[in-house]
Amino acid sequence: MNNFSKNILNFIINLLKKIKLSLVASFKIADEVARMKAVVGAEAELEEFEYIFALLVQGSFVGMPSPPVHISMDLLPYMEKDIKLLLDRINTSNEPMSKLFSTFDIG
Amino acid sequence: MKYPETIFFIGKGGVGKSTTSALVSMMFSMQNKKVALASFDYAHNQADIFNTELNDKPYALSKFLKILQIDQDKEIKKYLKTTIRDVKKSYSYLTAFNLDGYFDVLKYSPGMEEYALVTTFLRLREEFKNYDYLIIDMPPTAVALRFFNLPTLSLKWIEQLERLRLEINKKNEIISKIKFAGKEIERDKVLTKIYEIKKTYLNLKNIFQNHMGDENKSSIYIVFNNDLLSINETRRIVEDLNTFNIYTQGLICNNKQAVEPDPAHLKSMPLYEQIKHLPFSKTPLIGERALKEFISINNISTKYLL
Repeated sequence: MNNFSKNILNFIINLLKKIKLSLVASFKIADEVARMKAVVGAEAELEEFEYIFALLVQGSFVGMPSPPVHISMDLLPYMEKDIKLLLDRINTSNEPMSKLFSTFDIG
Repeated sequence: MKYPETIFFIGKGGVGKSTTSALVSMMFSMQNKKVALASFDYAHNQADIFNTELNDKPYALSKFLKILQIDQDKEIKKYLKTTIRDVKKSYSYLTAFNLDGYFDVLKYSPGMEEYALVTTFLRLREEFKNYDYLIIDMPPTAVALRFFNLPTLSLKWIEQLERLRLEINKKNEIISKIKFAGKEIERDKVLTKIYEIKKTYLNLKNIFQNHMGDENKSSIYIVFNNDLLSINETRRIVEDLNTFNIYTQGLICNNKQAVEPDPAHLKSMPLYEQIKHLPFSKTPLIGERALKEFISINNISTKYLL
């Protein structure tokens, strides 16, 4: 095989590799998007559960009755994420509908 | 190394819990048993009985008897300080809400008092591990009952929280499986802590309900006087403790008058057969000598009393 044919062959192989890679990449993106979409509802439900848990344990920080103080205190050092969630909720509490719409991607 | 046998003395204010616990501690120490007597009562009566300054550092009255006075405020402050330290260590931001101000108010929260006592009790059990007896002079009825009820009440909350947290973790795992194709999620620190708290309260509940066997024996004695209010309150204490499945080991009638009580008076009491009598003392029972004299003159022993 002469050099010319070799170059063409290499070119074709590289092209195929590139096509394969971009196909894989786009499949990965599609997979990721599909996975993301699949869990939107479940994630909203999870966040709601976490919010209830945080409110139940650390509710006294936002004026809700709560379990015996020592239980809240014992768990407090491990609940940074939950406290953030509570504070976020306070910020968005005036617009409950907008939160719902954004969860289900309406509008 | 085994834990000391715990004996709690409870009862209405002013019936003589402190004197009884001091006498029992003295009797055990005279039998060369190692005893730690801790007063959980705000009234600081042990300091008056032993005629000495007491605090939370054990005061050695003899080779066999150590006495402590627990300061609830100090215990609460110690606990809050540790929590604040842990929070500051694990929270990356603190400006969002005023933690320090909140903690200042917390020391007045309902429930803190009995929690401080429970924590102290667990600490003392460890501290006096090689002792024969840990004798606790409890505060008056209301706080004492809340103290004994604390593990049961806390467990009710903890079990609910555990259930909810497990649900959260299950959902979290499903989402991670779909989203990150099975990548393992971090272990939940909150759930780990919940399990830790649950273990502590189950252990405490077992101690109070005396389910731990001889290695970890605990018993509750109610001290009372021969008067209607004291008798009625004693009946209520026995009933209340029974509702948490905690059983009274015995009743001690501290006779504050020279006249022996009429048995007919006491017949209506629960555990009537187990009532033991502490004789009337003409002289005030103040100081080690007076206590020892009272024990030898009246020939009372722990075998009779407990």
